[in-house]
Amino acid sequence: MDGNIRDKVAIVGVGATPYYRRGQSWPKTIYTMIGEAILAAAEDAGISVKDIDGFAYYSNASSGYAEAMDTATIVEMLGIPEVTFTGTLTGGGGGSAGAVGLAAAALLAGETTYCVTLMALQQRKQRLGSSFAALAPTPETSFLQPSGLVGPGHLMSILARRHMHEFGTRREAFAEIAISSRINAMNRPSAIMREPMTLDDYFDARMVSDPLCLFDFCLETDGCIAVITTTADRAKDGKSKPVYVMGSTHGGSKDWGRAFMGMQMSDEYFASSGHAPVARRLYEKAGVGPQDIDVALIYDHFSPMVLMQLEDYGFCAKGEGGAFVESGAIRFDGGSLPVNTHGGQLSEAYIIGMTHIREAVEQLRGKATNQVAGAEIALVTGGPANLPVSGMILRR
Amino acid sequence: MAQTKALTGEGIAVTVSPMTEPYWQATRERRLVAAKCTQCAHFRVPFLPFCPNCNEQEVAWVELTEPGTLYSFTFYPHPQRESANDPTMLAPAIVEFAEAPGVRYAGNMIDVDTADLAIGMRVETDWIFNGDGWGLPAFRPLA
Repeated sequence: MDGNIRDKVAIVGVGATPYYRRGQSWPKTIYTMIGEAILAAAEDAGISVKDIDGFAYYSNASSGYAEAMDTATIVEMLGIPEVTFTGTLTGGGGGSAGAVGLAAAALLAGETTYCVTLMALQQRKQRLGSSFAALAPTPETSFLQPSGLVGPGHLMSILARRHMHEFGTRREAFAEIAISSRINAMNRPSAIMREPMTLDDYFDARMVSDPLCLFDFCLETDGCIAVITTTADRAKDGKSKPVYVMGSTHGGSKDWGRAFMGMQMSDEYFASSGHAPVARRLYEKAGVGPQDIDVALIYDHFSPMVLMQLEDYGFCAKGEGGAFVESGAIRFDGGSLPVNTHGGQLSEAYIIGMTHIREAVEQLRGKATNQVAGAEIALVTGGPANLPVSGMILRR
Repeated sequence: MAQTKALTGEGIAVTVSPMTEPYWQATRERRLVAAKCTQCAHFRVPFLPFCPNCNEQEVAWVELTEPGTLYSFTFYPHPQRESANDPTMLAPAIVEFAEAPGVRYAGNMIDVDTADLAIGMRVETDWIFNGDGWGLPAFRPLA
């Protein structure tokens, strides 16, 4: 064993429900959406749902912050005869791109043959935008929440302003990320937001938590996406073109730790995405570098965190993310690094990172709506959040 | 631009654990304290049971008496403003302290116009009290 998953496993199936505005998936239950997505993924892979025997989750298998994804319920519901692996990454949305790595570890250990990774989100009971505020503070959040840092946007605005202070980053850079994402969403039937957005629209938008305005925030949506991962030898005979996993890493530094849930990151990490160590290890394992990435699907809960990930994944130097995006580099049309060709969580839909994995697979199958010509290698990242954060590199 | 005001404290929820209680007891006396490892002098934030530097457990709670420095901040329309047209802002801020390297506390910026807020400005600590008498730090720029 060389201790590397590179090219040994592949994503062979992707399935999704439609995307809904927050709460509008009801009266479908969350398990209805889970079943629909898994059945569609199995169909895409050309296997029976009864061939699935593994589950690799992230975010502690929670769906949003109000509900959970329970393997026992799923196998009862779909008649999956026997489950041989069910595990989760800890933390929150930071693990989305790393959950496929958890699947890979289990596949290569022989603990599962077809492994599902999924996320279902239904914000009928609890909006994510107010999820922290809805919770009574813990002894630890009692040091932040009473100051009015109650929502994710409040917390992220603190990091964004620090980046602006240290590096001269401008709101124009955040605007470019929002506008570029919107352009990519406009021709996608699955996208929630398809109206054009101008720079004036951006600067006229309501300032929610200075310096972040409404368009710096991701959407609040419902839906479910499931992907099926298997070993490369099984994948080559599948119905769909396999998308091989070159690397999938998760973790991070204690200097990032709980990140904006504590605001005690070291100076080096504070105005960052926390992804730098995970990115270094990912490139090393995958045997490629940032120059080899044809399309990047970057977790975009808030626009400034896209910019900070572009720095941490080495597409530009630390502090130069603003200038990089303002140069037009991330545009689908004419950019050197097309980013979030599906419109991302800012404009298509927010399923806690899974839309990025889905888009990477579509790009590498050559079937994306905004297809990057000749795309061979894609980067997918998990959310800048409390540890673990994660990244994944896929190839066709 | 707009004047800042602290959240008024009555309804603000605070949860205290045996680990964090010494901090909160000090706030009742308008003292801002930080936990320092008695073994290696490393300041411990958040207040978890072991020193991440030397893994000892014992701490001394030392009072921060020098001005702090504004590390970052945000501001948004004050949730307790009188009307939708009231321009008063709530400005949550993160403040660090040269006396306690690595320690940052959150609190509201007060008595300052949002246009004058600047990272790096020196601030003094004032206090807001919630319904249970726990003190919440608020920070005012030094002239």
